Amino acid sequence: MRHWKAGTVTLLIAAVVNGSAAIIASTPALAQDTVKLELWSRQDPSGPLRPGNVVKGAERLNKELAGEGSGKRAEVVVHESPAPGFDDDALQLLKVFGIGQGPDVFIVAHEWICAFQQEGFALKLDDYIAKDPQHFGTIFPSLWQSAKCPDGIYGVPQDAEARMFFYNKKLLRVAGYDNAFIDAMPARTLSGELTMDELIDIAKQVRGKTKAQYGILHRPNKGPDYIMVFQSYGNSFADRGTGKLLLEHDKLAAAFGWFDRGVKEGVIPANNTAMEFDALRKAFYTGNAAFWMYGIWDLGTYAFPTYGLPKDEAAFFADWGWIAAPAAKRGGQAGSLTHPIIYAVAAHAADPELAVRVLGHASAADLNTDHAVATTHLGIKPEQLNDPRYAAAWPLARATELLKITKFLPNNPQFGDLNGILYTALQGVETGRLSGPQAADFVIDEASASLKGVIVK
Amino acid sequence: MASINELMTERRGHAGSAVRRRTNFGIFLGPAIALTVLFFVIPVIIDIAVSFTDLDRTLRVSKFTTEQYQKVFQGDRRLPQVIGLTFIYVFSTLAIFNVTFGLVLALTTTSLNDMSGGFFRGVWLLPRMSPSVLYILLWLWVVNPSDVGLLNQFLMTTAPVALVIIANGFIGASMGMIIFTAAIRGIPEHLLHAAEVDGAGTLAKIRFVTLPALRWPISFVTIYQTLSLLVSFEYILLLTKGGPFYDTTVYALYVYRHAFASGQYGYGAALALFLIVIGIAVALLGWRFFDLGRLLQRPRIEVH
Amino acid sequence: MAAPATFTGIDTRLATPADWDRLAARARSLRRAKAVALYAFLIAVSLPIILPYFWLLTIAFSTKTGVADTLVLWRSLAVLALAVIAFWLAAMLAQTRRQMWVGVTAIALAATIVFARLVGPDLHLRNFIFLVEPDFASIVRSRAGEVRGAVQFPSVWRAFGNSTLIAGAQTVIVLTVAPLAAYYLSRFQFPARAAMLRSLLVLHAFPVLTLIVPMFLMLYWIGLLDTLAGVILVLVAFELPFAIFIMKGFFDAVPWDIEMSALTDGASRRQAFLRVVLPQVRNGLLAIAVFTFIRGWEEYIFVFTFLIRNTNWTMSLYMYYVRDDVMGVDYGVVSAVGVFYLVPSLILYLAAQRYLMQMSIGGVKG
Repeated sequence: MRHWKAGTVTLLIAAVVNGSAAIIASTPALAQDTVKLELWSRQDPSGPLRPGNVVKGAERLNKELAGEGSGKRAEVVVHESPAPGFDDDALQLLKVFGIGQGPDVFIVAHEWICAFQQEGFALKLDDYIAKDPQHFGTIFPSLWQSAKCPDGIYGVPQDAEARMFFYNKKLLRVAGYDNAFIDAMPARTLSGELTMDELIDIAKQVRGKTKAQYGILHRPNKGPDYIMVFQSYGNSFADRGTGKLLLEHDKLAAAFGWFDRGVKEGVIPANNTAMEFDALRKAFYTGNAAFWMYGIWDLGTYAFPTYGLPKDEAAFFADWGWIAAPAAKRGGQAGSLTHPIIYAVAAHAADPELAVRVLGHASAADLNTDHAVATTHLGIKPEQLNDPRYAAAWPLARATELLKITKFLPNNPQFGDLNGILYTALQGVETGRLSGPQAADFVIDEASASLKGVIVK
Repeated sequence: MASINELMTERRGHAGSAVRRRTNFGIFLGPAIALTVLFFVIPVIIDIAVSFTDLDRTLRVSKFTTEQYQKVFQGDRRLPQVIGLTFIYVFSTLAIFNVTFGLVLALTTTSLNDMSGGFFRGVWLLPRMSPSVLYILLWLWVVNPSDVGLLNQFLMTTAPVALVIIANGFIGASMGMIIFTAAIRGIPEHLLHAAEVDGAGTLAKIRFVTLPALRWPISFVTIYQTLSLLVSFEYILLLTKGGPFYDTTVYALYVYRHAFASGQYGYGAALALFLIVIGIAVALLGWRFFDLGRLLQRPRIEVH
Repeated sequence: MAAPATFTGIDTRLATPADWDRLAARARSLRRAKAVALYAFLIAVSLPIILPYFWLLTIAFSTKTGVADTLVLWRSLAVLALAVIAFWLAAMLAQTRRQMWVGVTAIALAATIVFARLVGPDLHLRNFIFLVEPDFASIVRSRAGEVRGAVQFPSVWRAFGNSTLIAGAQTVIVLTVAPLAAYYLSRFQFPARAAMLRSLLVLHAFPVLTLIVPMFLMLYWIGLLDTLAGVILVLVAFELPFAIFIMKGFFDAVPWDIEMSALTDGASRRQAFLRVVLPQVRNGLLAIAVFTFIRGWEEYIFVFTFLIRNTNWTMSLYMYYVRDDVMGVDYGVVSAVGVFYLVPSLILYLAAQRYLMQMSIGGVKG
């Protein structure tokens, strides 16, 4: 809403300037042409600078345009949507585009971009990007993968992150594990020695030997952290060749089975999906749970400012730590999940080239580092690592290690819907309504009924 | 009465010009009819149309098809469970809370003195009068799993349907309570005195004087609340979002959650249509069964 | 003349004054026992409602660390309960009016002092920070470090204004449309009357929320999508059947004589309606005004769905998102917002409570 007010003030000033300029319009050099770009953004406590950087990017572009002698100016008006999640926001945006009232630039979770591309709502950016290598040339190549649809690039990566299992070392010590074991956990996970089942065992011992109420907690909504577990059990959800959604019954059943075992061993609370998000977070950070499956940004957004976890690296790792998502079997591959958010441009945007240039400036290394450091997200360009702020933000450096093994969600336009079905099934498994194989059946049934072109194996 | 009829005939001549009649109709009923047609009838027509298309989340229609109805009858495994739950939910809430408990509240509070009775009635109106978001927030605090909850998560995990019935029941009981109280107050005192003199105790008085007088209100509340329960789910949505898995997903919520929230608007339209048909059927049947036509009596004057 | 009166076991032909006294005493104690039972029952079933609301109130004014503790709740309830019992005793034992007032005042004073000592120190207004500071979410979450840019809430007064606008406009329109329609249905006979009355009930069977997408399309086609006017009209339409039903009940209860005399005096139907009949159904107008306003006050789904660009915050959305964003961290602020949200409905409802109890349907008595 602040941006909205800033935009109104700018509008007023622009109007006055425009009005008086119209009189002296005879001089082309003085005449100004303000292109209004509407930016659709979701209100999100973990990403206030996503729209903010675009506004700043426009300011920088305007300076650049003035320097070029062009009369064009870009003005970004931010519309903040109160949608509770990226999925809801994407659905709302699709409706808005559907009635022809879409914004010019929008911020969206990457797996939804091909849904927009499919309907012709998003602009293909390859050519525009090629024209601006200064801004776009250095972005990590793997991040571009997340913004690609079958026929080209449709988004500009805005950030990245890594998801993991945080764990409370203090609790593990009380539960009887020695420091050597505790400190070796991350390495053992990466090497494939620590498995998903051992995770349950450790959590069980913590539950048994300490006052902790919970073993492993995850968030109570369909934010795709749990996809890490599914990927550990071999689910890729997309067919390599065709890009269509792929559901493999046995692998699904195995993944659901892990959650089922977790609940039966008393390690995952059966009502995890019904608990309040804040209550879960609080439970972990106040030492009432052993593991917390979530993402690195929680440190900057909640752990440090609200729950007072130590900001100093050594102090933090003395009592807290994280491991990647373990492999399913010994010797397997550990993993992580990265869920980039991307900027996209509408196909009907008034001035696409201007819009992309604004995004270019918004993706400047220093602006991106502002966002990354403030909310503990990972940056998009290697040069950010040279920024002292970024280096000082040790969570980012340490989490970057996970980028080597991280996977993305498939960019299938229907994946968002499939994710919803997976979450419903997960809830069914945890509350005991479905067994692992039954959950796999449920997912396959629902997906086949409501989605198109799903391959089932 | 004859003089009045003469008067009426005289009046009819004066006020009965066709133009005046029609303008009266337009002024009095016009706005209501316009709003009703615009926001009830037209959406239903659109809904029927949409149910024969494949309208999806981008509001695009590419073909006309009956595949949505095929899905309803063949593909949907959750539907039987949802329909069964809806029956249980509507019937239980109605029987336990809306009618029975509303009656109990009306009877008990009218037996006390005015101030105390008013106080308790006031308390029981509170759920209905508070905004839904707030009311459900209070319920969530009561069943909160952390150390905070006044009650605890017992209800939420073991019997979410019971929780939903109770939460909605409190709201429904207040509606019945209001209407029954008004009706009880309308019972002429002398009838009760006469019963007392004849030796009737409290229970007998209730059985032979009060309840017969409440026949219409009870019928009305029953049918009205049945329709309400069939159709509204805001409280359930806020409280359990449809419950662990599909446990508290009643039919209306199923339509909303399954279709609207996930963008399958065509399928949702087909499901909604069934609900509308059933709702209308229940309303018309109830009208006939409870003879509500008699309740809404003939107009006071036969003025044309 | 001989009255058996066997059910009391006393042959009244032979009854003495002492026997009558005994009868009277027995009846009195029976009545008292019944009253006690009634009170006990009503208190027991009302507790599940009283407790959470009172808890909301106490948390809003007392919690410091954001935890929803119950200490203040129990303490204040204890004081209140004792005070109520004391009042009751005073009312029972007092023999003169004067004595009763003295007793009541003394008890009130004592209760206030005890309350101030026990609970007073815990009370504060810090939880109401949202009233003056829009970025309170950042402040609330910045316990150990600075939080920049928590969810950007608008000023609560803006949300309050929007809600008032929506609820108010809706109420005014319903108060105009419903009595008109109800009067006509009550007084006039016309061919479609029976069908219309039936349709009032049938309309109640419409699954409003499942028709959201068709309504979205319809509003778009008539150009009312993304406007407050569209949301208000939708709300009006959905309150209408109920309002018309209630108003018709009130109109039916107004005797025809009044209108008749007005008509014989030369007034037209419309004038008769405005000047003579409408004032008679003031209570009905109040009743539907309250119901309609409260419905508009709690509305959130339509606001969220039909407003796209002009996402006007309403109190319901505000409450919903404050809870989402801040609750785990600070129950106090959430409760304070809740109290602030509740107060207008509460005031309206208390003011109109008497009139709500006079609602009847169909005008059939007994």
